[in-house]
Amino acid sequence: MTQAYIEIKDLTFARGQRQIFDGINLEIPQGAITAVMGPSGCGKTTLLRHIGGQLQADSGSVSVAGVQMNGLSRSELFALRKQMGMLFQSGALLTDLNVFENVAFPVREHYQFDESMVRDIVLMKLEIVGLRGAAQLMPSELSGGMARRVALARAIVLDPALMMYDEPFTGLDPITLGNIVTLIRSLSKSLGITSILVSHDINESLSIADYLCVLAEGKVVAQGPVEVVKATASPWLKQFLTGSTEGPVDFHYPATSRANDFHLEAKS
Amino acid sequence: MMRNLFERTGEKTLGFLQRLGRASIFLFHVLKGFPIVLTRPKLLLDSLYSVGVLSLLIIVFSALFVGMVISLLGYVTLVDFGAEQSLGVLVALSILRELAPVLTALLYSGRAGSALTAEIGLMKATEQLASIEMMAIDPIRRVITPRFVAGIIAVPLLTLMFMVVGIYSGYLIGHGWLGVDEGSFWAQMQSKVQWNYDILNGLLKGFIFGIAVNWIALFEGYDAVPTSEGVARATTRSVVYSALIVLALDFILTSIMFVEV
Repeated sequence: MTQAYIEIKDLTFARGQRQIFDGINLEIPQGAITAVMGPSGCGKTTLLRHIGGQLQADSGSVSVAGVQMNGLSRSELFALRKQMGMLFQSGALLTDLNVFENVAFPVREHYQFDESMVRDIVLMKLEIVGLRGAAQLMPSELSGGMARRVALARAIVLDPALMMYDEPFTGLDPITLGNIVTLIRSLSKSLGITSILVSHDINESLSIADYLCVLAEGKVVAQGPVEVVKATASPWLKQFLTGSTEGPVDFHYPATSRANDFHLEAKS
Repeated sequence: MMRNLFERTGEKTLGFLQRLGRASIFLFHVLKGFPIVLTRPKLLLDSLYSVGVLSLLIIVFSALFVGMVISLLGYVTLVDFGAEQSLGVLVALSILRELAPVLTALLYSGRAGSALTAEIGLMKATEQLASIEMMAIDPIRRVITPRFVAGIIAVPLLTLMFMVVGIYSGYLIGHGWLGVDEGSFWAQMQSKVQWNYDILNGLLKGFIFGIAVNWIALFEGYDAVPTSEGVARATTRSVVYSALIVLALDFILTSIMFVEV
């Protein structure tokens, strides 16, 4: 394994009564794509929020690029976030700005570049995602896939060292899906961006991921290079990775006996 | 039963205090971001346009009719005592001291406050605030502070507009329709209305209401449960709380400003 870019040690986190993380240990290697997978509600998105410093751990530590996230001052945190890009599931484009201004937003906020430079940077990023021609459209005029590509352009506009993708494949048509998969792969391979991919689209994720980490019930169930994890998978993980209905996870939620609910007691 | 009642009262009280605490911290952060409106006046101007200029029509329209009604009702009462020459004083004092600041604040909370709450709430629900934060930009400073400052500038100015339009429409009805002498209408007003007592206190009311209404509207949006139902509830709360706070504050301010016991 190459050097770890993110190190998570004994992370615990609870929301109200619900224990979301129960001692998670995880390493995200530098310059590779790591897929974080797991059943719905297992805390995949919450994990991204910890890495981005939007949530604080109850105990344990998260370090990004060698910096401990716990106890960072706001300005230190913001300095670190400038090296992070995050693609939200909804895109989260600012609805009162057009595509160009959305992508220009972080640049304008952080740097006093002159207008022609901003224009060059923004159009280059839009070119990467294939939407240079859509620069003057408003977010309401974009399809779901286009909005996500614009959000991707905005996330990479400051050339981050770390990209986090939150459910990037959900709700896309096959062609757009293919485009996004290719984009994520090429961004990682050509620019050497460390990427974390949170998803439960197994086929797409495994086709581009170098490393795999599976979360379930607050713990890391498996982590390592994709092939190794696949080869050593437990029965539960095998069922998860193949999406089979047969296996240790029952289709039925635990319930009382059927006879009881359907009034099937034998007549006597 | 009794115990249950106590428990629930305690829970409600604690919940209220917790929200109040969060709202205070929120206000502190909003004020801390103040320099941004000096370094980037464009943000302030954009917000001023949406909360101020766009509220102007409803304020002017209401002031027009309120002034006319006060003039009519005042005349009916005064004429019995042969005191219709004082109509100007009655119209001016009721509008300057009470109606202009209170009605402006109430109308503002319905027109601009609700819009602010819904806008901020939806920005939260659609993860726009979170995405701004992930871009290493402080969303309170960038999004909330300009709107807050614009709001507390807009409300006193709108109050002033209400005063001018209300008094003038009262004059139009009093002189044009009811035939009150023009000279005594203005002259009585001039001698009885004091600049720093009536007008400035009215504007001060407007300023204080402006802080309350904008604080409530922005906090409700920022604190909204990020779902469509949550935003709807927050918007309702924003308008209802604003109205209650404005009326309660109005009583306190009136008793301090205009009543000498």
